[in-house]
Amino acid sequence: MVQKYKYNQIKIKNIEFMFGVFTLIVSLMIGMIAADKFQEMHETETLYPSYALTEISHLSDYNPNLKNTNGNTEIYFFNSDSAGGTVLILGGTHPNEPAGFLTACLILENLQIKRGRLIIIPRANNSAFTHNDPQEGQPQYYTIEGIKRERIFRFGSRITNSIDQWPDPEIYLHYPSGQKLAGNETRNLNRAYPGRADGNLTEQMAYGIIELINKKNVDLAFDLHEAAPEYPVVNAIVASERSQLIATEAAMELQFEDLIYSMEPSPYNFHGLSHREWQDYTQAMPILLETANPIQGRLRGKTDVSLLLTGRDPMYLKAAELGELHVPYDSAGISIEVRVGRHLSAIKTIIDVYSNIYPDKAVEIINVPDYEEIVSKGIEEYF
Amino acid sequence: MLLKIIYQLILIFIILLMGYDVFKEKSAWLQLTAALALIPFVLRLLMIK
Amino acid sequence: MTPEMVIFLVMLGLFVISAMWWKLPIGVSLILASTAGALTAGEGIPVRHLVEGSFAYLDPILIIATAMIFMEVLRKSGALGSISRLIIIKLHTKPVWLLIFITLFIMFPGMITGLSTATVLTTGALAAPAMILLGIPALTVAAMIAMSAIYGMIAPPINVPAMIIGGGVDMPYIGFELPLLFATMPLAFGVNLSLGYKHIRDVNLQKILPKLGKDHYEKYGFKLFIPLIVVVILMLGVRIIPEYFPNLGVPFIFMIGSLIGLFCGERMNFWQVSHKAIQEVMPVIGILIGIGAFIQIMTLTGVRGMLVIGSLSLPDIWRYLSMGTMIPLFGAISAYGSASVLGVPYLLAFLGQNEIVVGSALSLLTGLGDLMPPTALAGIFAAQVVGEKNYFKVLKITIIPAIVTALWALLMIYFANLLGSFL
Repeated sequence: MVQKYKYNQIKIKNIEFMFGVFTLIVSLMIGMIAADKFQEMHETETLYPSYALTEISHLSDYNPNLKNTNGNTEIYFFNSDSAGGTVLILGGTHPNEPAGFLTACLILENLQIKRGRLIIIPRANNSAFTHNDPQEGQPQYYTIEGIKRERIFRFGSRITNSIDQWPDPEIYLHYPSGQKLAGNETRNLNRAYPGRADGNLTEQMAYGIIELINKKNVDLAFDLHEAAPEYPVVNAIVASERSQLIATEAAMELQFEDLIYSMEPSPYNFHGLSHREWQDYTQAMPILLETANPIQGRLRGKTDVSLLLTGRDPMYLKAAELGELHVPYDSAGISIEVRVGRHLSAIKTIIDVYSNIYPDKAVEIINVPDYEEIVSKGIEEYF
Repeated sequence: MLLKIIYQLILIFIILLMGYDVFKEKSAWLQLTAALALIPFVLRLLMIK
Repeated sequence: MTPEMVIFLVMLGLFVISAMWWKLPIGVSLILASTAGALTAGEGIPVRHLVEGSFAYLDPILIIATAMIFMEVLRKSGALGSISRLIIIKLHTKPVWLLIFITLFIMFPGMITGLSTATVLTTGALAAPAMILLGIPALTVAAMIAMSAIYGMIAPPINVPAMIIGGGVDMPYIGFELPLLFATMPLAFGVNLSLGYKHIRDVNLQKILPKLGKDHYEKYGFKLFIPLIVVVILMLGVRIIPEYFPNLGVPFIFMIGSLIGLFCGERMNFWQVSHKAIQEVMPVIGILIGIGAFIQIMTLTGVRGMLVIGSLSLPDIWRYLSMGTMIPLFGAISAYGSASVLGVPYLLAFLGQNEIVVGSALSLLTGLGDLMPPTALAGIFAAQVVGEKNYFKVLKITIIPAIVTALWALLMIYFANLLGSFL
């Protein structure tokens, strides 16, 4: 009897043990499948700069602490033969806002420059391209069937990858203002300016960008974004005190092309934003551009590549009927062409206005399509 | 950087506890729960996600 | 019926069947329901999404696990018992002050960390034995702790849902102190006095003393409380003088406290104590992992959007009712999730009102989400600290306080501009 009891005990123990091993193997397999997907995101997409390219440098040239980190990123210089001003274009501050990144890429791959200098950072937060936000259910990639080649781009996260900057504090204290924000905003590049040379990785990136602007005497600096259609600052040009005048004039010119923009002043009391801190820590005229992007909104329905590229969504259609949106929205959606097109036209118009007001600092770029062209021909035409 | 190493040590401790728990839970479903819960912790420890 | 509705019903149906009928753990049920939802939506089994969603709770799980280890260490070292003893002996003759003190004591960790679970598991667990010995029924104690933890998480200086809601509309977390005090303190005192006062009007110390157990304070003295004091200093320091204080993060602080606790009282086996702690929270860890996958699949398939649009599309008169119910209900999945997914659109819907007051009130509503099953983190842990297996019994007592809280929040929103003028 005792013998049998013991035997059963051992058997039960064995079964528990075996089942434990079995569950661990199942978890291991699930973990490996997921790990494979997560690691793919570290492969950087190749960009094909136009012949106007004169130099590629890295953000680590402006903040050496970034060397050998995922925060390092390429900086593309396009110098012309005639003297003029310097324009900086930042794409990919938030890699979940694809129109910002694609606009920078499209200019980079097509532009010719007649006057002045253009600097492009297509992946401003390189680390944020290597992962997706949990619980957002967003795609990792999207494909554009370009006429030159098929292009696969990554759709990343709004913030730096945790594997590059972890743990987050419970509360993010912005340097140097001491402003408090939710802890994970500590990984948001557009809350990190002016940054610190030896701060956390995101602050290091912000510092590098400020250094670049100052060392290269950037006159006009763009930060390209997208926002949810229900967000009040959308289809907007955000300008600081210094850039207000050219932004207002450009907005009026854009209105003639039926491109309506709201003008938003850079708030004095909200720190860490590019336009706020570029105004205060550099000599550049900062401009931030927003388009409406349903795939990052909270009201969106099915989240997939089609939503990313077409912006068509029955849920947003309902939201528009309910008057919840700050942009016109109908069954046509807001396609990637519309969003990239708005950015392109705004950039070109603002550069033109700037060049008219400051002729000795003029910058002239050509071979970059405007809104009309890209909407009628499709984005594929330019890749 | 130092903080990251400390948190990885905390992760190792929690992973060991959870791994041990996989064999100590009385119900098979709780064993499975513990095993599944390990996935994100191990992926973070290995700095994959 | 829209495809989203079908997917939602499949997910909800399978969850209810597997959790209630098959009696599977809630975490596993959620993962099964998420997988079924993805299959229905034609996504196959999206392993990447299922795993990715769970990462939203990696840091919260670390906090819960380390807080639990810290509390087990305090229990074993004898500090827990000694604190109840002190509270009872010092304050039993002044019931109103006793309750006010206990309320603030329980709320404290929530106020500085913004976490309801850390609150229930630390000061809630410390106060519970004393409150029970004073004569308050265990279930009422659990309800008082759960409510105090929620008010603590919403009270200033740190309120994470308010930060999330504010972050969604680029509103910095400035000027929230007074509105948040107004949103929480009257409720916290009111609820705890009304639930507890009648039980502790006359306390007979002589009857209680024998039940108090061994006094470790006599043996170890002040040393017993060193781990707790270190934890409080480390948590407060980084809030008060962040310029000079290292930001260690809550999990690390709890681990430091636990390690110190090993040398400040009764001896113990750290591995066994830690394992006991992990075993106790394993179901909750499972729930959080499952919830992560569940939300990710809801978002992927458009169910989340359908729910948000559904709650926004109710007519104006119903909007207050929908806010008062939908935000806490969505908290069934996660209070922070509710702040982000519903809190932000509702704040946008009320733009033009005093946004700080509206944001504060909305954060109070999201706090109630921590009472909503199946996650009900505040309720589950409060039941656990008083030794009650069925947390629904605790939730039942919190129903009236929760309704009062929701009404308070809605009134704050309705009178936001008026309140804003003097808060």
